[in-house]
Amino acid sequence: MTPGPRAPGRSLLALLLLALAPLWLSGCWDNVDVRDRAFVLGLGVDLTPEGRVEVTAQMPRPEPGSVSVGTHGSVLALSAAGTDPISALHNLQGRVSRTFLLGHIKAVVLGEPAAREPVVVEHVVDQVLRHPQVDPGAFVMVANGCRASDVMNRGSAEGTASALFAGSALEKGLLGLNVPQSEVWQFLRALQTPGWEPVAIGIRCRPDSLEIADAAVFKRYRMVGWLGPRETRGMLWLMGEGEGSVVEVPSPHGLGLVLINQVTARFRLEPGDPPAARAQVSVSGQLLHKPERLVTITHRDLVALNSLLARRIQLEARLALEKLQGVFGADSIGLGRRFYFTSPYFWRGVNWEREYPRLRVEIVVSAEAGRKGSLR
Amino acid sequence: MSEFRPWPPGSLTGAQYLALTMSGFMAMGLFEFPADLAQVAGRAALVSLLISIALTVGGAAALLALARRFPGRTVIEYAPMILGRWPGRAVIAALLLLHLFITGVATESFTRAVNNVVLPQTPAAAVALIYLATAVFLSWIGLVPLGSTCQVAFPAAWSIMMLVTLIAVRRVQGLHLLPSLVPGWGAVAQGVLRVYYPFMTCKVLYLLPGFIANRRRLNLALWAVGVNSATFLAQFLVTAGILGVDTLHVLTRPTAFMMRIVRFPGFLVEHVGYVVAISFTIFNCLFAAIQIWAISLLTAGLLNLPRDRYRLFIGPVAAAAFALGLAYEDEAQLSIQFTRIISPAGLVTGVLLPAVLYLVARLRGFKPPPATARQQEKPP
Amino acid sequence: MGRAARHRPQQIDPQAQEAPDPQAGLDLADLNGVIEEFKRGFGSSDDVVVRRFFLGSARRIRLILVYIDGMVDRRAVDKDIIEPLMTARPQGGWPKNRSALARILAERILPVGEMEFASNYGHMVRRLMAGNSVLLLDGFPEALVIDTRMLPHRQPEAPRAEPNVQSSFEGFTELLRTNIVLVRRRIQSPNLRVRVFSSGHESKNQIALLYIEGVVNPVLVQSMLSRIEDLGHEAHLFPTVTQCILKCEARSPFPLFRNTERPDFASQELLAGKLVLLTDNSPFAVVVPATLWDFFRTPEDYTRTSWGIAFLRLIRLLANLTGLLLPSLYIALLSVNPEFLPTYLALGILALREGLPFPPVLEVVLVLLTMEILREAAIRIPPILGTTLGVVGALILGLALAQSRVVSPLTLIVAAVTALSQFVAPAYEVSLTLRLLVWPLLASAVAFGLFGLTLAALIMLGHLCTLHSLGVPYLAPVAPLSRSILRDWIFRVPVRRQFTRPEYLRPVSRIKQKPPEPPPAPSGGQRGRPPETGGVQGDERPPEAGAAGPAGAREGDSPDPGKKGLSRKGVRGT
Repeated sequence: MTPGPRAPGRSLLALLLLALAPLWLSGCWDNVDVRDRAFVLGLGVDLTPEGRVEVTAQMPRPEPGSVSVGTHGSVLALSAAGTDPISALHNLQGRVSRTFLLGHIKAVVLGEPAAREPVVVEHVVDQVLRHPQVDPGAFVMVANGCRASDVMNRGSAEGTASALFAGSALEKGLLGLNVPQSEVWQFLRALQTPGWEPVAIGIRCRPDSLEIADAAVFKRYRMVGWLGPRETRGMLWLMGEGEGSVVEVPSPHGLGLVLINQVTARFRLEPGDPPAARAQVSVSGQLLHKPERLVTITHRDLVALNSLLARRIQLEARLALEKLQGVFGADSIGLGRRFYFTSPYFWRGVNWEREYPRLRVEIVVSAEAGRKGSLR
Repeated sequence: MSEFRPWPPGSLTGAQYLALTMSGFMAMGLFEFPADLAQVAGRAALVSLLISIALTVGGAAALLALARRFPGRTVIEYAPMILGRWPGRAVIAALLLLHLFITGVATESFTRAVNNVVLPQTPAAAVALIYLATAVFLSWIGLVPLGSTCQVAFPAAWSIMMLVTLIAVRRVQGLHLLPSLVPGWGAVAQGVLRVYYPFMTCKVLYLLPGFIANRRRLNLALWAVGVNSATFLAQFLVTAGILGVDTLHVLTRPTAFMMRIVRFPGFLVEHVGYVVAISFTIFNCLFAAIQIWAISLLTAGLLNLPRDRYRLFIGPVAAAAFALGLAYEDEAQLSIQFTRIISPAGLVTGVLLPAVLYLVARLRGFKPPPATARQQEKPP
Repeated sequence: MGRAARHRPQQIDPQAQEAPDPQAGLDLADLNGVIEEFKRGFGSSDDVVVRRFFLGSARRIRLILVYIDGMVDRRAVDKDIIEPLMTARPQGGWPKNRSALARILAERILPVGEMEFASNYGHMVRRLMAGNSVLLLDGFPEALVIDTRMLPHRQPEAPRAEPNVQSSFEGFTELLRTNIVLVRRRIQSPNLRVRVFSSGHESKNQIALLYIEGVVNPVLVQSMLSRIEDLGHEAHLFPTVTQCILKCEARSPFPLFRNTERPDFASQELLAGKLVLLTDNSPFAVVVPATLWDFFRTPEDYTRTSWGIAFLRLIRLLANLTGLLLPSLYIALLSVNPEFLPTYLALGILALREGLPFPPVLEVVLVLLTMEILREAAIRIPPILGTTLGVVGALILGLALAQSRVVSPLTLIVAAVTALSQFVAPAYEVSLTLRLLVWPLLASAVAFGLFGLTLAALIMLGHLCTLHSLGVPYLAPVAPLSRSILRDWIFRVPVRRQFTRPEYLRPVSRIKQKPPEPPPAPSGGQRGRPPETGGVQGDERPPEAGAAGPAGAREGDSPDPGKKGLSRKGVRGT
């Protein structure tokens, strides 16, 4: 028997408690009442005319007994300028009575001029990821057609605060949003991985509301341009995403609608000079509206419909690819990454910057739309 | 005789032994190793990792074979028997110093992690102090209660971590996991040599088998080594699968980072990954407690004191670990300790030394006693 | 064997009594001397009745009957002792020899069930104080101790502290004999051993140790016996006596034995291979060894389906964890690590807390303290006023607190859920432990948030792992792991498959659903029978133990066992 494991243990416990007591008295360094914290929900980053960075922070309005949590009315947005985003935020701290808590940042919105300035984007990514509190899962967005501070000052159509609107809509992977994923860490991943360029989600200002749409294409830290709705969707097809979107299928007899349920994209790469790739996209979906007659779809109808659907998807993907390859020269889909991972020896000898625009990509789409509702 | 004891006092049951081995083996470098591995071995990281695991299993098997030859004894007793008095003591002293060193480094590393992520305003010394105080208490209560504590706390912490890892699996891109030997075998070897540190703590097997009641349970430690290696492997695969090897090496604590980006919307804790902070705390605390116990026991052995007197050294050992931790100026310096000192030393003590001891023991004709004979002899 | 014999082993057996006794040499044959001694010894105690009379027709044979008013059955004294003695007229006349006369009185005249001879004064007084009547015969050196006890006591009622829905509605009472009978009625086995000890120099309170021979590990019994022997001379009126036995009263906040008011639970634990201690004057039996999980079991658990019980036990365990951790978790998440909270929840809390005067820590402390005060008050207040208090406390105070915007409603919810959760455990003593431990955990959460809370929980767990209840690890069968974890921990295997006893108790016979074998023959020193040093031997019924057990007949010298029923009201249906 070990000599008295109980008695020393307990006396030590008492000793420990005694030793820790002064710590408790002097301690509580991190104990700050929630009232004394300002929960920053979103950051907007703009460029001032003088070329400084202006940061707009969205936070709850200190209002006793406010029941409507997270609505546009319950938040306020404050702006301050500085040399870089974090120093601007620090400048803002002087005007607020509460300590900023950055752990709940849902979205970082860049104004378009700021997004086109590589230094600013680099600072944003770096500072967000370097800060121990900020959630690396915050979304990177680019304001389309307005300043980021406008986005922060505006609510969604249903009245939600803009940062929460963006955050919750994107977090839940809302079906049919048709935007690529762009959390801060994904942004970093695309920057770090060879043959991959980051994208950001566009957020468009409407007269009295906001809309999540489009994709901002980046090349390294610089935003190079926008992809429109169809092109964004085309890019998503190639990424194996885009579930929930509704595709219009034109036919001589009218317009059919197909709700896409599943998308997969596979690539077969042919390293060589010039390199080539073959993308096999398969989508399956559900027919929402049949172009010709109301009821009864036959096998022949379905075959025709599927080929139309496939052609449509192929067209969109082709559009996106042409824009990415030809106009922007940005490999947002990560085709180069596929070469990098699957043919490392090929990758060592290739200058992807030069090869990417002339990469031949063959897009093969197999589509399958079914009737899943109550009508035959 | 008047005391009723359902279990033989002072010795471990199989489950306690398993739990102690696992918790002594889990915490070290769990946060950091994918980053270092990615940096040193690049895309050959996976190969390095597999080699490290194989080496670890080999080392553990050698240690267990030694334990079978010297039932009821620890390295404190059998190293002098195998190598002679002074070389044996040198081995014990080396193990002691290494244990002390890694306890200091691990304490500092964990303290900094806590300080960075959850308690930014609290002074690092306060965090280190309460952390070490907990570890001191846990090692003070004795090996068997510590084993019981591990047996309850470790599975809970482990399953929380693995659950979150499992949730994270859906973000893995298989493409990122394709291994490649492009960096070359040199990089693979560097990966093993520099990033062996998560596996080195399996040398707790120098001591633990000496305390087990039922010798037939000795091999449970191999399960522990297997499960822990699989855990490390899973952590690496998921982390690398999500982030890609090329992103890993710019992160300070990729495992923790991976946990933070796991989302589970609608769940009570939206960022489930934060729950894993609790797991990490438990792992580190148990690890530090076992380390402090091991160092104290080695010290007692070096001074020829009986096993039970190890408590004498707990206080000084904790103080030394605390002081060692304070010696680092910055995290960059700290991570160099892992790759430059601890890993090679871990390879030597975790793989090479057990193999040498085992071979010498075989050559000198030590044989495992027959299984039926109950070894009543008490170690000195 | 850390504890040296600080106290002289307290011998309890009345027969073998050699307690310090100044009147040891007093001659009981000298009635005047005895009466003098009574007057000196009892002083002005008016409840000691000394009745002098003569035996039947024989004028010269003086008798004294002494008893304590209120502790005896007056009817039995009058009808069964005084009347036969006064009216007896034996055919052959009274023998001259006093000892022959005494034998005739005992064997032919007195129709009482239980009787013994006491040869010294101290012994006689002890029996007298226990409620017996003492008959002294002039010139005869021994006293006849006649069992006429009728002590005031309750009838078995439904247990108050451990109410259940679907199991026996019978609880222990304050009377040791009744309690033993309640157990014996459930375990009608000759192997049920009852060993009675008395403790306390002045109070002479009695403790009964119950176990089943051939089931329980003899070393466990021996371990208990040696602890009872170490017991001091202090008066122990309450089950704290067991705390003294287990010697861990002050060191750990956790209860190391299970108090139960329920004979069915006690019996069931006996059958599982545990020991039960009954204390006279206390309606609580003490079950040792106890593991932590025992506090979450009720006898009801064996009347329902396994799945239902697994669910209920999980709820109990979760509720207790909630009761322990919720306030500290609340503080840790709110004040120290608010980034862990889901955003919408954080915003909601923020909106509720806007404009409140106190920080959350102070709120929680205030509300928890108020709850504790309410609880203590609720126990003390007479039941008639109790409902009023409930309304005042719960409704008015809570409503006022919430509406006056002094305390956040969320804090009130947290405190209320905490308070409720602490009472979910079937054993009351756990709730006290939880109420106590909430505070250190709260302190660690206030200072170090979730990190501190985790460390504190680890320390608590480590402490739990060091505890033993009579040698059994407190967390068994979880740590150290043993196979019985599958049998009856959270999930209880169906009764028809539950044929083994918990193996962490190392029972002699592990098989449960078979009548236990007769006690094994002593096989060497290690596993032998309990030592012969203890007082009353197991199979010998102590005089107080009632007459329910078949092994109970003693000496066989009571002429008419059927008639003396008054002191055995607890016996039903045997």
